[in-house]
Amino acid sequence: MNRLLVAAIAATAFLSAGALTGCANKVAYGDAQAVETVNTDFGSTDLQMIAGKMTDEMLAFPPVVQVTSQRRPVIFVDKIKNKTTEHIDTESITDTIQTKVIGSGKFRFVDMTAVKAVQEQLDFQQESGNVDPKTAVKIGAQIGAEYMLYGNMSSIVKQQGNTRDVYYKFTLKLMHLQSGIVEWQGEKEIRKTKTKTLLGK
Amino acid sequence: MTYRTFSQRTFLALIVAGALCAGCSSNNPAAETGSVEKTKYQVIASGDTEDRVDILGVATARVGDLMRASVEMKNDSNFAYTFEYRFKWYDGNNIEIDPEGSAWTPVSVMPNETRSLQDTAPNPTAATFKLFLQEKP
Repeated sequence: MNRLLVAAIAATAFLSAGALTGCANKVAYGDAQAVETVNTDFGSTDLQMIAGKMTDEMLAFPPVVQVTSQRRPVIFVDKIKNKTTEHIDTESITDTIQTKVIGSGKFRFVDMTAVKAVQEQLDFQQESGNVDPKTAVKIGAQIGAEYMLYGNMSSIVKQQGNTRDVYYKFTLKLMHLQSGIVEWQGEKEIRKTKTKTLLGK
Repeated sequence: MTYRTFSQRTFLALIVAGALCAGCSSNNPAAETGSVEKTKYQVIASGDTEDRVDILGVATARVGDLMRASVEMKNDSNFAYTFEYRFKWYDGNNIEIDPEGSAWTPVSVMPNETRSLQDTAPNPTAATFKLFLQEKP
């Protein structure tokens, strides 16, 4: 009887361990380009839609087409103001836009976030005495930006009963620095709605 | 007793027939190939998008030296429909440009609504494009 009991306990323990292993969390790679609808917070698909549309519209705008037909103007990216209540990495959006615009071959960019690092490198090359002056980068030869890209992101959130509706609006502007004229402005609107089911979270 | 047995058999037959029909449904996406102003294109619809989305027309234009495509589609059904689309661009050697730069975009269309799906080529080397339509996986 004792042997039977011990065997039963051992078998139960063995099966439980096996079941738990089968129920363990799994990690798998997913498609970074797939549509993501985990919740109504700002997500990867929103970022991709915004970057895609803004790039599309800017490059297709007739005055921009004219300016870029003979040369590649220089742009710098200023801040995108986050006017929503969420934490959104707006620099990630402009990074994707910058990647697409550079890829089109129509514009060039200067990176204002790298100014400090560049200055440190130039100081090192010019003043440390460690760098062969013939190979050191010349001071005062950087290209100045002609245009500034900036904008803002806002949202309107509404909740009623089991329904939560989030509306995002992303606005991007291209300003000619010398004249102060906004040469192009684009907008992307996104609406996400979540409806709780009876048994849902 | 006889009546109950007949109903059970009929019910079972219907289930089997339904399962067979489901198994017979085609998983191969339908492709529509064409050419607009010497620009070749393909519209590839998979799942129910093949039946519910009607392609009305395809147009291309040059914006500077970048190609821009516009595909006009219509929701043929009497219900709102949500699906996903993405454009893929290919150069003159049929090599895809920026394979990971093209994300699926969700779109919702009302019953019998017409909508234009548009995209601009990533760079001036683009020569052809494909438009993929799918239901949400």
